[in-house]
Amino acid sequence: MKKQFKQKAESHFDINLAPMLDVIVAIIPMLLMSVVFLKVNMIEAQIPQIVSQVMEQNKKEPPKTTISLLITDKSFRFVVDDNGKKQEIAVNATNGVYDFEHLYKEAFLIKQKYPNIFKVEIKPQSAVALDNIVKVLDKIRKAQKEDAQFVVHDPKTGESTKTDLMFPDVTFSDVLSDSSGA
Amino acid sequence: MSFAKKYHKKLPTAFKIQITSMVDMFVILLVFLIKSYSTSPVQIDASKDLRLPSSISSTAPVDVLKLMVSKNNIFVEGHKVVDLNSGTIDKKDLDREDPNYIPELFKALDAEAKKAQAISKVNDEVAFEGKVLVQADKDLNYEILQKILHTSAVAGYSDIKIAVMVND
Repeated sequence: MKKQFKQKAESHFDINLAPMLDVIVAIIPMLLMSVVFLKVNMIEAQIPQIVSQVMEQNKKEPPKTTISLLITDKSFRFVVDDNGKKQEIAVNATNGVYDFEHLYKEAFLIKQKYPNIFKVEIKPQSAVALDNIVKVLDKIRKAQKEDAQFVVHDPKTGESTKTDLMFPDVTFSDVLSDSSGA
Repeated sequence: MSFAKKYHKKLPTAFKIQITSMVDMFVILLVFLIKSYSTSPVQIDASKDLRLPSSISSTAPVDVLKLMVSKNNIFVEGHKVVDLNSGTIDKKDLDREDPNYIPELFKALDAEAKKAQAISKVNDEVAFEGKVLVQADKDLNYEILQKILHTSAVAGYSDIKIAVMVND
């Protein structure tokens, strides 16, 4: 009796892991082929319908107000041309470092004044690095605060909607210009 | 008799490899690989010559013509077309009359545009939209980018998309 009890206590259950291992070994090479260590995205905007209608309208009939942003190695400069009346807003670097927060505040104020304008022509100087250009785009494309919304009116339908997009339509205005300054 | 008993005891019954720890390791590896799995049309190989700028943009990249600009080369769809020298282009690779025009890059882009236009003629589902995804190193100056964008626009690729890395 004692012997029988001892025998039962010693016996244990082993799961056969070999088939599981086979499956894993088959899956791993497949996953290794498609693994990405750097996730890439793209700069483009998802736009509500009314907002996109206004943007399309702007393309067909260019608005009288144009906004351009000059990026130098030391500062940013917004130039707002409102029907021929030009206004310049400079955002200077502090201690040689770009002031992106100040840039965002100025872009926000301009957007509040011109909610139906979505296009900004950017003019970086030759020495400006792509990294800084992308940082500028990040700041001016979309409002950062969750409650920051702009009311956009569609002049055709009279409808209005709210959007957090500021200037998602970005063009490099000097790409096709005369290259003498480059 | 006692010898036979002893001999019988020493005989191995079955040899079993202890694979539990190996399975543990593979399961961890599997979870990591599934997390990193991607079906994105754009994949970047880590390279010291090409480090993309990081951005808060969350738009997934589209499958369009890929123009890669590292510090030392310009590639169109993976084929090297122009050499760069630490982000600057040699004057011999530029057009004499228009210093923003890169003839070799134009040739490659024009060939791709013609190919896409020929496909779009026979296949209604494919349309040539002039879209190009620029994967450029973050330290490159606008001077070289301007030349590349200018040449792209001349070749018919004026809808430019800039590839960025996800800013976690």
